[in-house]
Amino acid sequence: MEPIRFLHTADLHLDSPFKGMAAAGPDELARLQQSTFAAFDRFIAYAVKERPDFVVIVGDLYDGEDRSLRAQIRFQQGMQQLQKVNIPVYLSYGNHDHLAGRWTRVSLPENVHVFTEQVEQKQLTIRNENIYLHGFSYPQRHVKEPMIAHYPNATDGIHIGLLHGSVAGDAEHAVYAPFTINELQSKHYHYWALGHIHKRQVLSQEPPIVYPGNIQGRHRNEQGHKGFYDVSMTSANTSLTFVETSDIVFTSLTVSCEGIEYADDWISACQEAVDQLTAEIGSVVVELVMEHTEGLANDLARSEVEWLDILREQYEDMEPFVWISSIEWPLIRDTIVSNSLLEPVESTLSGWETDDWNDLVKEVYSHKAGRYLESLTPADFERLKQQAAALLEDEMWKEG
Amino acid sequence: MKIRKILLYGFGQHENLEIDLRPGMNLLYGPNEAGKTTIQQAILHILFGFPQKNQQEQRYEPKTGGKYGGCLYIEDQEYGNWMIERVRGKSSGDVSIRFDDGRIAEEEELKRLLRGYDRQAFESIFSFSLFQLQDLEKMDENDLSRTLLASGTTGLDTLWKVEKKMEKEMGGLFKKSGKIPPMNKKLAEIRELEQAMLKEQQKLSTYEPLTIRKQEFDEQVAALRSEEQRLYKQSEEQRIAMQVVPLQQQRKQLLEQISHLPDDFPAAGIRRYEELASKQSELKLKKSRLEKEQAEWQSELIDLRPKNEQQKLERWVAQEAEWHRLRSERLTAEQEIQVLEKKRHQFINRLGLTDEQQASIGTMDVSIQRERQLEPVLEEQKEMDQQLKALQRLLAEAESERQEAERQKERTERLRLSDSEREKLATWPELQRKLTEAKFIVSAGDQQASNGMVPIVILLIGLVIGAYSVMQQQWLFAGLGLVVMAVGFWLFTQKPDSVSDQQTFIRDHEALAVELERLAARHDMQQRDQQQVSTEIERMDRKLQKYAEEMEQLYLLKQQAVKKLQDLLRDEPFDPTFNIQESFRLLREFQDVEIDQRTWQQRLQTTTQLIRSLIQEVEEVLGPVAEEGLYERLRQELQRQNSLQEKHLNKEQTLREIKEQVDETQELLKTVTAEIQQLFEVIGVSEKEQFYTAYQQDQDAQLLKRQLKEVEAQLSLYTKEPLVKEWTLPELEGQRSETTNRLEMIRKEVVELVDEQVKVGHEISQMVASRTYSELQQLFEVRKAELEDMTEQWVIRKAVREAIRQTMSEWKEHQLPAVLLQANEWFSKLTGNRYATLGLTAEGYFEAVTTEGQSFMINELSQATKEQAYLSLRLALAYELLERAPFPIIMDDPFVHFDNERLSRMIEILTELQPSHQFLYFTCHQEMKSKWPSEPHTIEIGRKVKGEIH
Repeated sequence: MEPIRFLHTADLHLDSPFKGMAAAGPDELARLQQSTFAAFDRFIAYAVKERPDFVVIVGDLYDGEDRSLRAQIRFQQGMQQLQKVNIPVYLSYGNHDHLAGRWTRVSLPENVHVFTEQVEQKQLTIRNENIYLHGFSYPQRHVKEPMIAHYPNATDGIHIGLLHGSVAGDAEHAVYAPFTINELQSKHYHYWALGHIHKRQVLSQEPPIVYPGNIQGRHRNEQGHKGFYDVSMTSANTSLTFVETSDIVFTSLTVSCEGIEYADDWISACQEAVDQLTAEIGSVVVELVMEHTEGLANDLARSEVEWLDILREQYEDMEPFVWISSIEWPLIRDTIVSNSLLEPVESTLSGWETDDWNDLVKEVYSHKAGRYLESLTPADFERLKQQAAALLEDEMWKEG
Repeated sequence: MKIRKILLYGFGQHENLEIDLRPGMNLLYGPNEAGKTTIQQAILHILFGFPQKNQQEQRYEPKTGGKYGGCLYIEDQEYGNWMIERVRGKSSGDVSIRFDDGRIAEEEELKRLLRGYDRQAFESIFSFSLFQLQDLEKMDENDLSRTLLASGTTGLDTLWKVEKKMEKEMGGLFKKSGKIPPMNKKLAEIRELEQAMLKEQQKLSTYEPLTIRKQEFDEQVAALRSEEQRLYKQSEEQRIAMQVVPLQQQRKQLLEQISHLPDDFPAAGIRRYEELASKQSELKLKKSRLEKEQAEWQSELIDLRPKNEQQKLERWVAQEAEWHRLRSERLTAEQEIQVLEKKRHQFINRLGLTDEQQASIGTMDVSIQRERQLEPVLEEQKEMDQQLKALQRLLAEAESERQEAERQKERTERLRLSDSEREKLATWPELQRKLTEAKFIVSAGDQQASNGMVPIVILLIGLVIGAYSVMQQQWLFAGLGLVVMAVGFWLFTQKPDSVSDQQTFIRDHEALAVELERLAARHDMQQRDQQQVSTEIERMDRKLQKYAEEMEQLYLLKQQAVKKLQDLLRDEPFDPTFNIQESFRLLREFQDVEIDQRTWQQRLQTTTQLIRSLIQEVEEVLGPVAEEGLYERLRQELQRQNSLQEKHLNKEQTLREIKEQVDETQELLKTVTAEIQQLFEVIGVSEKEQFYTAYQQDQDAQLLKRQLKEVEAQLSLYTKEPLVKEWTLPELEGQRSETTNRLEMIRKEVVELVDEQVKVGHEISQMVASRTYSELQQLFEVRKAELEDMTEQWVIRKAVREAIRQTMSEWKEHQLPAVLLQANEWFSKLTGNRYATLGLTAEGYFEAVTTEGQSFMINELSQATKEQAYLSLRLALAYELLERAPFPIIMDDPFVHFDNERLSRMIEILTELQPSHQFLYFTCHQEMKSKWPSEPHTIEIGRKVKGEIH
């Protein structure tokens, strides 16, 4: 039996804005925004070239209600390309592009089959093999109900489940259509095509329960190579091949400053490291993490912003694209400042609880500006505390 | 931490100073200028570094320029005992630290050993002097409180500054209701972006309605297009119908017309007739032309000469060469005659002939014989003339010679001596003799004179001989010598007196002698010449005579010769004797010329006659004619006659031909006329007009048939089948215009719709291509991120500020009270319980409160009380800080304002502190020592330091 072959992708988030790109200029932004399309184009090109039997897209094609028309047209064009080579597409909408949205819908070609808001089954026959696809589209933004209950059990033929949601009890992500691995396994499907979680992961091998991740990272928390799965399936065996699509990779890079004292050496060390990185993985948005900074001249380690700007300038208008998002410096414990002063202040600082912190930031966060700010987590407070301590030391050093 | 030993290598006035200290109280006594303050400063300098050269503090470098610096030995409970040495080096001095265990520490470690205290902090707590206490006087409330507080918590100022800075930076980032700070600005920007996004979203939301509208347009356009198609088809049908109907009607009419017309006209009848008719008229014309030509030819005249004349002409023409020869001969003769005439004239001129001579010369004998006869006679005559001439010349020469001789004779005569001269000459022989004698004498005297030396020599010789002989006693010789001497002497004296006389004589007569001699010579010569000349003249005369005779003879001979010649030439008309040969030649030639001339004259006559006779003959025939143009005229005439002859023959031929043609034409004409008649008979007409009418009818019929054919061809184009419906034209017209109108309306509508359609389509495509919305979205995210970054900055600043504030208030609320409590206790003790507490007001100022509860601000206290408050506070701080900063307390006579009671209380407090603290008390008051209950360790500092100095 010739294997059934299909592509599994999800979370395209076409034309979605990139988060946390403070200080980026219009050129950089345009380049970044192009990247989700570039990734999508790679996906389509792959499909056109490889001619899989069909394609499944499990939700979050667009970023949200405020999706751009451009994104929809680009998606439509991609689907038309697949139509030309007779590749059927099965897609469900997720929490980001739920059916209740009041946005304009662009008509999709006939090879595209969209799941409705009820769990339904779509059937197709490939080389005399009956294939059943199960899935649903989000009727509105939040589906807290465990939709898995509505999925039927497998009968004869090949069954593939499309589910946009997260594992129950996962605190990190907002819970959507929660399920457990057991529940999925109990349906005896041959493949569970999941979406929603942007981090690529295979939850189970028997049968494969797969998050393909998104096709292009969009912020610092979506690091690494992104893409989709090319799945080959026989009755006995299922094999997955990851295909990379990301146009720009979010990553971090550690640069050792050992033996470096002056700025020009430091810059060339950073450049060397970045160049090596881009040679390996192409365009990047990179966080530089400095280590072994003890030898650096003091002014170098202390005026981070300027050095960041200088480094960024080195990569202006370059291809592969390089955006240095930040430079992390290790905290400097300076023996020069007398502990008799610092210690009590620092101990005060570290004595604060989350509530204390919330009180501290209330002035801004309860202001109308708060609406545009991500709410702070205890982890954020910890980070802020370290930054405050560093600032204090720095200021004391300067004043003293 | 205690100082065990101070060792100064060189510091101010101190050199190699060593001071051992003990735990507890160390009293360092010295009078003014002993160097107490120097030691106190040395401790601070060594611990915290030499002050910079530009700082106000003294460096205490030795004026002697010797070694600068020193070292301290420290007892340290926490880190172990150590020693610090600071010497001249970099501006703060080179420092080295060594622990008791031999470990060497770096400057960095010193900070740790000094517990993070700098000099300022140290001084503010552990070192104080009278001056510092006195300075309190100048401070206001605020300063004082700050100083007190600051001296308790060193570096608090720095914290305060940082706190203020954070506060300022926060304000710089964000203000709750501000507009200018960056965060507020960013916020405004974000809100603007949000608005822009909303607007863009609304704009994009028209996409769907627009697509629907576009579809509607598409449908409408399609419907209209199909309607348009239908109408167009219909209108086409109608258009065709409109064209077909009139054609059909035409066909009908034509068929009817054709049926009425006859159909028997012969094929190409009219053409045939017209050809024949034109041939006929052509032939007629030809005939009449020929006849006219015939008449013309016959009437034409030809001027032809009679036969004999023509023959004569021909003969003459044949003789043309002869004619020309004659003419040229005549011309030659004329020319020849002229030439000869010219020659004859030349000869006449040359010979100088008169007219008579001319005539007679022709008969003159000019033969060679005659010439030879004359020649010798002439020769002879000529020779005679020559001889005569030669003789004459000789005669003339002789004559002149004789004349010359005569002249010579006269000259000689003139040279003859005069009588006086002759007399003089007669004395000459006498004189000559006398002179000769005299001359001889003179010449002899000259001889003697020239031997003037001889007598002397002889004298000397004599002397010598005499002397010699005397000496030899040869007396003979002596005598000889004597003689010789005498001779010599004589000779010497015998100089002639007559010589001079003779010389005078000679001189006197010398001139005369010369003159006379000359005269004698002249006389001889003259005599000789005279004789010679006379002989010459005689000879000449003889010669002359001889020449004259010869001459006469010759003359006679000549006369004879001339006569002979004259006889010979007597009968001749011309004398040819001069240059006889030439004369004869010329005469001969002259005769030749005359003969030639006569011959040519004859020839000229003959030719002229021949020419004239020919001209006469010709003129008889042709009339007068010039000699020159004669032959030309003859040739012309002959040619003319010849051509005329030819013409005449041609004419006769032509006339014959014309006649033949006329006959032929007549025949043809007959045939053609017959044929025409035949043609007329075919359609039964007799007249030309009738024939033409018949033809016209036939033509009409033909036209109609052609039209019919055309109509049918057109009809066949339109429809394969004939139209089913019977249309009338007006009907059609009406329907058609209606259709056209509708079509036009629909087209207009379509155009409008398409415009709309395109517009909508463009709008849609623009919307599709628009990046504005996603750009705004992205920008929105960026701004949010930037706001977040700023917020973070703001938050950490606030955290720092809050932490500092909280710490400070903690100090104020907890640590400071402990210090104050201790200070209170001591202050109250010092003041003898006059004041109960020393505390901070709500505003943060210090105040002292009496036991009665009355409170005073610090600067309201007396100087000593103020100092006591200050001291209490300082000591309390040192006490409280023992754990963290166990430094020795250094005091420079701070108690001078204290009364005895308070001093002893003070000492009590110090004593109380002694176990835990080391004190270095500098004083210039010797009695201080005695104030202590038990005598303290005392070190005297002076010019020569006493005490525990090794």
